[in-house]
Amino acid sequence: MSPERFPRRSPRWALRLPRLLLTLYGLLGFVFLYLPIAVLIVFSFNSSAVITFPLQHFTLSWYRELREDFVLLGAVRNSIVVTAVTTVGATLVGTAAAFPLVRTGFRMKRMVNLFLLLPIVIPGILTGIALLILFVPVLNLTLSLNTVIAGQIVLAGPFVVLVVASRLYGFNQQLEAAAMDLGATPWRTFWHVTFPLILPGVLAGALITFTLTFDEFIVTFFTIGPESTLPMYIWSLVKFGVTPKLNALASIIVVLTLGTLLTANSLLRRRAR
Amino acid sequence: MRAASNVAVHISPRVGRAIPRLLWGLLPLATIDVVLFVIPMVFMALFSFRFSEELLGLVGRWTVAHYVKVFTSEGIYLRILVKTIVIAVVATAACLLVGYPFAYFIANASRRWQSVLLTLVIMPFWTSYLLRVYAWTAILGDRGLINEALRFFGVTDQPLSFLLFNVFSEIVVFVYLYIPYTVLAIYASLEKMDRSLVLAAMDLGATPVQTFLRIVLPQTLPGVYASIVFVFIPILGEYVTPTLVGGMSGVLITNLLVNQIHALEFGFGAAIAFVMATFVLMLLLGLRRSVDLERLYVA
Repeated sequence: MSPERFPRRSPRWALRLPRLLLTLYGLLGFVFLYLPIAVLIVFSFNSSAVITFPLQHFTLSWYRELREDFVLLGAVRNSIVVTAVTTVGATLVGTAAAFPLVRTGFRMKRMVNLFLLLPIVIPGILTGIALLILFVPVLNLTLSLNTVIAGQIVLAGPFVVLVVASRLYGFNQQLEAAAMDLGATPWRTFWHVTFPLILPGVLAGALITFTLTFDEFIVTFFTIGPESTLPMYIWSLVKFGVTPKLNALASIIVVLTLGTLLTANSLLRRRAR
Repeated sequence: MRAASNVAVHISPRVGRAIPRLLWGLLPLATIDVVLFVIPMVFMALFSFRFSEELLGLVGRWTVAHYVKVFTSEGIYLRILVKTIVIAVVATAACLLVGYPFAYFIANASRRWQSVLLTLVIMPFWTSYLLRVYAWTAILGDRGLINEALRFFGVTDQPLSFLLFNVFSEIVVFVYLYIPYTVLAIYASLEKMDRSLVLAAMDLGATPVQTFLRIVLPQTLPGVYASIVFVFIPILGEYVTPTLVGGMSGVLITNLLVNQIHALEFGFGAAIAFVMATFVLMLLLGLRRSVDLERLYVA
């Protein structure tokens, strides 16, 4: 190989420039991702009733207003009921389904996989309308929080399957083999070996389900009756004009969901070590 | 090693018996999916072929009139359907173009930073979806962040009104909402890439552009395909974004669909929804081999 094939040594800044530009690009990317959230938090402390610049005075009155909004408090209560029932149901059902999907091979497994994941890939608006058609013109049911829960479990089940299955893939099955070899019954093996090991994954799945369901809008939109959940309440306000207490609400939601997520993250990490 | 294989031989009969029992675990979720997902979709399909004066019940006569209306009625439904697909294609392409260098930036950071940056990319995704869309009206509006900043620096004296309530703001918000998926998918495939191939290409005298097009890009195509599933398909079903930031010119097929449902036109609404569902399913089946959904478990 001739020596001129090797590039001449560039000055240091020229070597660093692409990296510098890439870092700058990355920073701009994060500005783009966090700008809307920052705007909401800033306006939650702004005294003006409309979200326009320039900013007015600092105030906490929007937070105070939230505390006195009984419609909001009722919606939050409904959201908690729906989310709690959905989380428990989806976690049980999803965990049970994750075991055969990871541990056994059977014919048509790929198709079963695709089928079980469909509710998270098909746009929610279609699932919601299909459920509405089943509930109202076909079954003539009264829409209520029960029909909302039915729709949410369909959406949440596959997410639990994904999270628990990813834990099961890293599971050392020889530990179970050892327990059974030492005379433990399958039931005992499950509770003393398998369950403690997958528990962080199951809890992480439950927390993710909780976060997703608490914020779910489009399927709820079609399956809800006269009651309201938190996203439905937010929708009723953003659709018909601007109310600054939404910014205060958004800031609280940001803090709460980030707390939930960090907990889920540390649970997953503890398992992965 | 020998001991381990002995154990395996020793316990295999028990494991063999455990397999059919494990399959029972699928039953509850599969039942829920059949009763609350498959059956509703089947009824939706049936309703789309029914013409009835009755609001309730699957009565009336079979007809393809709803589909004729979708595909012909002065072209409005077909036109908006095509427009929706075009906008979703543009937004997905924008996600890939903007997201690729961003994923590259994360993949090039040190190990410690990578996990921090990835968490930061996902986090906004978990905070109120409705409020994040709504926040853009405060950024792009006539008296929003951008217009006030431009006026403050003396760049403009009239607000730029083309920033909000049109197709432009719609696409900006689509990119904002779905770019985390693109970044994660491309990051995952960049991580798996064999870096020695890049060094080899450069060593053999390839330019950076050649190296990217012929070595890096082909290896990250799975990430691009995954973006189609997790960006393009959800955008087709977006209702909140066109409603809150799309304005009149940003009306998409979902707006027309919801109008029909609100007017209790279940038959016609079902026909629009069924056309969309068929399109999405065909896309998924077409990508079945390119996107390994099972790999999601490991990610």
